[in-house]
This record gives sequence, C-alpha cells and structure tokens, in this order.
Amino acid sequence: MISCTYPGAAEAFTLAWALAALGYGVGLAINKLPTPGGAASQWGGYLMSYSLASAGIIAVLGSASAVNEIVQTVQSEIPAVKRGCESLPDVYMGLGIKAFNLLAIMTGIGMGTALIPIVGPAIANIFSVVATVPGLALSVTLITAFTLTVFITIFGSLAVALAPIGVALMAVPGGKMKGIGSWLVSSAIVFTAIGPYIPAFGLLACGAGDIGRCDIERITEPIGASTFGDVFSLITWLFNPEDNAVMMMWRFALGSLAGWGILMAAAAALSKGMGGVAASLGFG
Amino acid sequence: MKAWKDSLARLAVTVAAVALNAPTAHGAVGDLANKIASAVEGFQTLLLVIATSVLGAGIAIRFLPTGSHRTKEFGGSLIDAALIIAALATVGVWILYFAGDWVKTVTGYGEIPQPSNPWKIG
Repeated sequence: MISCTYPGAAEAFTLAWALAALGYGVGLAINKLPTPGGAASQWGGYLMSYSLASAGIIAVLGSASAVNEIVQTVQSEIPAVKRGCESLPDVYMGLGIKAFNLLAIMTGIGMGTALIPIVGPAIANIFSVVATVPGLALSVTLITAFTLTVFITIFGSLAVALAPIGVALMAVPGGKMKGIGSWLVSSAIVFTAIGPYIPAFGLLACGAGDIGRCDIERITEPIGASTFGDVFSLITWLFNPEDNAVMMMWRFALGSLAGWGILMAAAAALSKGMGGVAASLGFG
Repeated sequence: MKAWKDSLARLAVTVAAVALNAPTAHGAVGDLANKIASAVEGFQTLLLVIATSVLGAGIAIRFLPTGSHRTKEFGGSLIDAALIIAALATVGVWILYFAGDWVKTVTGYGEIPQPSNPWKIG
C-alpha cells in the first residue's frame, strides 16, 4: 500500500533505542574498564559518542509527526497542486492502458484494411505511413507509463514500509549499518515530500511550462471519439501539435519520468547528505 | 575483511526479507527489541559487578599497608575507573535521553520516550 505519510520509527522505536543503549553500554565497558586499551579503547569512546548521536537521530527521524510536519511546511510553499500518492499507480496504469488500446486499435485497422480486396493493400500502406508518428509517440508513452507504474508501486511500498527498520539500522552500534538505514529513511522522506508532485512535473511538461494548460483527467480518460480522432488528425499533427491528445500523453509521460528522476536524485542526495553531516560531526 | 562484508550483506538481506514479510516483521521486531532490552539490562548488571570488583580491588591496593608508591597510584586509578563506570552505567539511559532531548530542543521537532528508570528501555 502506497502512502505519502512518513511512518517514523513506529514499532522499531524501542529497537532503535535499545540498540543505542547497547552501543553506549558496550562502548562504556571497552573505553572505561581498566584494561590494556589502545585502539579498542578509542573505539569504545567512538561507540559511546555514536550512541549519543543516534539518540538525537531517533528523537527527530523516529518521530513521524516531526518529519511529516517539516514535509507539510515545505509542501505548503510549493504552488503546484499535489495528488494523493495512493492514486499514482492508477494514473500511470490508466495512461499506459490507454496508449496500449490506441496502439491495438491502430494495428487492428491496419490489418483489417489490408484484407480488403484490390484497394486494401494500398490503403494499408497509406495508413501505416500516417500511423508512424502517433505510433512512435504511443510506444514511448506505453513504455514510460508502465515503467513509472512499476517503479512507483515498488518504491512507494517498500521505502515507506521499511523506514522504521531504517531508523533502527542507523542506531546499530558503531554505525556499520547507517548507510542502508539512512538510504531507507531518506527515500521515505523524499517520496513523502515529492511523490505527490510527480504528476505536476508531467503537467508542466505537457503544457510546455504552463501547468494549467493540460488536464490530468483528460489525459488519462478512457478512449473517446475525440482522442481517437487526434491520432489520425493530420491537421493537429501538422499545425497544432500542442493540443493533440497523443502528444499531450507523450509529454505528460516524459515529464513524469523527469519528476521521478528528480525524486531519485533527491533521495540519493539526502542519503549522502546524512552521511556527510554525520562524517563532519565525527561519526562518519 | 571480505568475510566481514559477506556477513554484513547476508544480514542486510535477512533484515530486508524479514521486513518484507510484514505480519512476521511486527513480531520479529518486537521480539528483537525485547531481547536487546534484556541484554542491555543484563549488561548493566555485569558492568556494576565489574565496577564493584574493581572498586574493591582498588581500595585494597590503595589502603592496605603494603606495596610501593606506584602500586598505590595504580590502586587509586582503579577506584577512579570504578566510580566513573558506575556513574556512567547507572545514568546511561538518562544520558541518551538527555542527548535526544537536547537535539529536540535545538531543532524544535521530535519526541523521545521518558525512561522509567536507568537502563530500563521502553
């Protein structure tokens, strides 16, 4: 189940806290017991300080309301309309199915006309030439829409569901698992913050910079006479491609893919940023 | 080093596999947390026993009328170490709590559980 709410540490809160306490206890034993110390003693001190830092991380990242509050503050500054994460797979699945149906109908018409005696092959030839550009646009839309559906479903389900484990992994003594933990947490935060705006990137690309020009409901609506007319409308293809339904679907899909790319880059950057901040504080 | 990395990779895959099985994960995380919490409380007892032993040895070495000046100094350092361990072990969870609380105060965000007593988790 996809959700755009950061879950925090949830049931893993106690686990994270216990791991921090264990790290502190072990560090204390290694660092302060009167044994021949050396490198092990230094590592004990590092364990103690890492555990204290973990307590701070757990306090902020472990609390779902804290991160959600920050995300809502950021989102309130963004003018674009956001869409519920739960509906994202349906949007792109609908787009992909629409492109698939149009391609199937075009193929059927091409094959059907070829069967007409005498004039059929000639008509089919002309038809195949006319169908080249819409076919190309629809193929790209089909591939992009289904790819986005799969990526959003898997990433949106796993990153958010695994965030509690991520908080606990960050608290593992010595920070040996903090790379994986911070990636899970940052993925969940970024998906929560940017996920609802993926369609907005598509709409921005669809309207060539004007987000109000395209309507998401129109793009993903089931095939109608007007949509099918746009596939073979030479007039719109030649003179008004901005308002051609197939071109709009294509631009929306590509823009959404760009939005997805930005989301992934932001997740990687936040994960690296967490590691960088930790390193600069001496916990890297 | 390679074996260590292999073990870590296997552990990560296991954790991911457990986490993916949501109904099991709830129980597994709770069980693991309880086990670690018990281990922490046991570890505290062990630390206090060691600290008491070190304190006893330190007092004996420091105050018994035997040994050189250097031995007496060593006894004194044992007493210091024992007191530091006892103090830090006793207030360990509170120190973690204060660390979290300090970050919460600075950032203005977050929640942190109030420990019921030293080294009592959850």
